[in-house]
This record gives sequence, structure tokens and C-alpha cells, in this order.
Amino acid sequence: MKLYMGFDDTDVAGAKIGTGRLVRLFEHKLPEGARLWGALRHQLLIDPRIPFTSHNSPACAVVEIDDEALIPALVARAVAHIAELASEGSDPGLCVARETDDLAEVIEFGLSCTYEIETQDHARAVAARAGAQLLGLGGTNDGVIGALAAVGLSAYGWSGRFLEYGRLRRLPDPISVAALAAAGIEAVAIDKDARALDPQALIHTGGWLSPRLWGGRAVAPVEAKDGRLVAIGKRPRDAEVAD
Amino acid sequence: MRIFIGIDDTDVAGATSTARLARELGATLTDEARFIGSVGHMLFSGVKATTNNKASCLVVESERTDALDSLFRRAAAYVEARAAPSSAPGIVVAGEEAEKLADFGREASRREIRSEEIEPLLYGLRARGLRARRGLIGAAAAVGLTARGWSGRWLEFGGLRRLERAVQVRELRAQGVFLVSLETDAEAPAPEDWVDTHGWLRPQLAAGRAVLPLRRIGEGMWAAASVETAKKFR
Repeated sequence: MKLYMGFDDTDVAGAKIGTGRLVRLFEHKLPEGARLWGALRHQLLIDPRIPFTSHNSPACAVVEIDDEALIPALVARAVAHIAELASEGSDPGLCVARETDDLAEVIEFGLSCTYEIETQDHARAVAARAGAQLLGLGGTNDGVIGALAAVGLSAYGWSGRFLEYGRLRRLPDPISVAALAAAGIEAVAIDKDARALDPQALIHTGGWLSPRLWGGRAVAPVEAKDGRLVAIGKRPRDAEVAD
Repeated sequence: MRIFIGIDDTDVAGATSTARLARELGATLTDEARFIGSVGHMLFSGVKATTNNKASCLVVESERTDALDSLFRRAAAYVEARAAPSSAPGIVVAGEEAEKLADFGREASRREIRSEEIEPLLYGLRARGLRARRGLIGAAAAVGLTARGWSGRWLEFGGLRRLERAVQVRELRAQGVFLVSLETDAEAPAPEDWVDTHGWLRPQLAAGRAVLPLRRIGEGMWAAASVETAKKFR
């Protein structure tokens, strides 16, 4: 089964390790019987009334586990991981929920955080009703809001992009549609015909493939440019927001 | 149970297109099945075709045990009665077995399929070809691609054709359309945001759902991606 582990507000301006990178590094702390399915970055509301480090973007580690008995150990390791790597002065939050929990209200909360200002009280109430664990781990504990939102948006399955997904960072450029599929990534043509792509067609990634979460799957939207198929996603700001 | 009804090669130049015939057929089936929509697929462009090599697939749902046989009979009769006299229609109807045609659908998207290649694939399926039976290839491909769920466009889906050019995100979501941002942040569009559909709202089939990829064009404003010049599906 999948376990959603949301992290937020683990860094301060100028920190070497942002929340995204912290979540990626968590893969090394996973116990036996747990595997990182993917690490997702989500975008929440940018508003001057919301305190955030750079982009108000929490991250979620989606972890596959064989046995629910592993959950307490995973939570303990995540708490220790945050204690080890979160910036001094940050306001970290952690949320842990099973895919089998009733996450409908958590999803609504996550979507709400993309366009409205939410509160810790509301986050705690929603988490309690869903049976999700929600932990404030320092400072103002404001990170609980984004942590819960990251879980909700990951469970929603139709927003955010992958920071980590299998061999994502070691895939060649260009890469064939079939090779992407073998890596678990579906290439989808974004053009007027929305045609099925030839499995042998080559996709140019610019060395930076940034799959999106569509329908709970890793998807690489692809468009034709100058006679080549190019994966959508790389913008100058990506290096900054990737980690 | 979800049922796929693939149709192709029903038209000749100037006649009612296959896409339109499929939509009209869907409207006649509502007494025994719930009409989800109609998906158009562009197949290999190097073959002789009326305008372009596109096939249609109706998606319906029914709990009736005899639905596959009944819908096949009705679809075949409808197409036979309405297809252009010189066309070569094909009709394929499938339930769970539609997945078996997914790889064939991808093949038909990238190369010309010989007529002898299709016959073994249709064994045991509900398929009918009329006259030259050329349409069986596109009909089977459309069923396979729709069942696979990662290509094509919804030409009919809920009440999409009745919406205005500019529509709010919450209204599209209420219609069952999933909106995805192609921007770097892959953010979820807000319910009150507006979407410019360019007057041509045809969501893609992705992850088996109706999906509309968007580009941000302003504060609270989005535009449907890649449809500005779209003319082919009508």
C-alpha cells in the first residue's frame, strides 16, 4: 500500500537544503520493506499574508510499504530526519496518511490551500477526521498546513510534479517513448490531435525531465518543436524550485 | 460495465463525418446505456482516407447482462443505415476485452495496417465490416486506444458543447473534466479562475479521463493548450 508523507516549512531563506531536497533525501532513511514510489512538489497559494520561504511549495514522499506495522518506524524516522536537516528557525510540519484512509476532506483541504488562506486549527481538525497523523515539529508549527495539503494534493492525483521517481534523474536525453514507459512514465502528446505516440519516437528532455502527476500517474506532456518532440516543463526557474 | 463502440470509414467527402455519426448514434442509445462520451483518434496519416485518418469510439456504461450483444446489434444497424453508400464501415463493440486491442491501436497510429492483419485480432469479438470492411481497422484501433486511455480527444463529453467560450474552472470540474497546468509549478487552477477554451472545448483522453491541459495567461486566467489552430475534429 501507499503511504503519503507530507513535509513543509523545513527551511529558511538561504538554506542549503530546501523542503524538496529534504524529502528526496528521506529515501535514504527508509527502513527495509519501504520503498519511495515518488517525491512530489506541490504549489500552494502565493500571498503576502502567508509566511513562506521562497515559493510556498511543500513536498510529499509517497512510500510503498508491505506492512502497516512499519508506519510507526517511518514516522519516527521522518521526525528524526526533520530534526537533523530542517533549518534553525523554520516551522516544520509532517503529515502521514494511508491511501486507504478516507482522504476526501484532506483532498479538499489541499485544493483549498492553492487558492485560500488556511489555518492550523482547520488542518488539525481535517487530519483528525481522516485519521491522518499531523505533527508540528518546531517554531510556529505552521508547516502542518502545507504538510497536510501536500498529502491531499498527492492523493488528489492531478497536480504537482515529481522531484524523484525511480530512475528519473538518470534517464538519458533524448529518450524513447518506450523507455519512458519502462521507467513508469507515460508520454502524452499535447497537440490538437492528441495522437498516440510511436513507442520508438524520441523525446528531448533538455536533461531535465519533470513529470507531472496526472490521474495518480507520472506523465510527461510532450509537444512538437522545430521538428522534435520536447518534454514540457523546463523553465529557467526550475533549477531554483527543483530542490 | 464500460463498453466501447468503435466506428470508422462511414463517410465519403462531403457526407456526415464518422465523428458526427458516432455522436448521433450515442444519443440514440440512452434508453439502455449511459452515454459517457465519444473519443476521436487520429491514426496513421499515410493511408487513403476521406479527410484525415480518424476513427471514433463511443464510451457507454450499462449493467445489463445482454448489453454488449444488444448495443452491437443496434450500432451495426445504425451505421449500416446511415453510412455513405460507397463507404466501407467497420464497427467493433467490446467490454473488458477492449484492452487486447490497445497495442494494435498504437500500431495503427504509426503505420499502415494491412487488412489481413486485423482479422485474427477480431476473432471472438463483436465486429462487423460492411462492403470492403476497411473500417474495421480504424474501429478496432479506436476501441483499443480508448480502452488504453492515453490518447485522442473527447468530441462529446457531458454538456461540453453547450458551454461558453470562457468558462470557470468549477464548472468544468462539475462536468467531470480534470484541469492540469502545463506551467513549471504544475499548480491546481482555482475554482473561480477562468478558462479560455477558444470556443473549441475538446478535452484529451488521459488516464482514462477527460483532461484539459492549460497554460496560464494572466491572474486567474488560463487558456486551453494547443487548440488555437485546431480544425480537424468537428
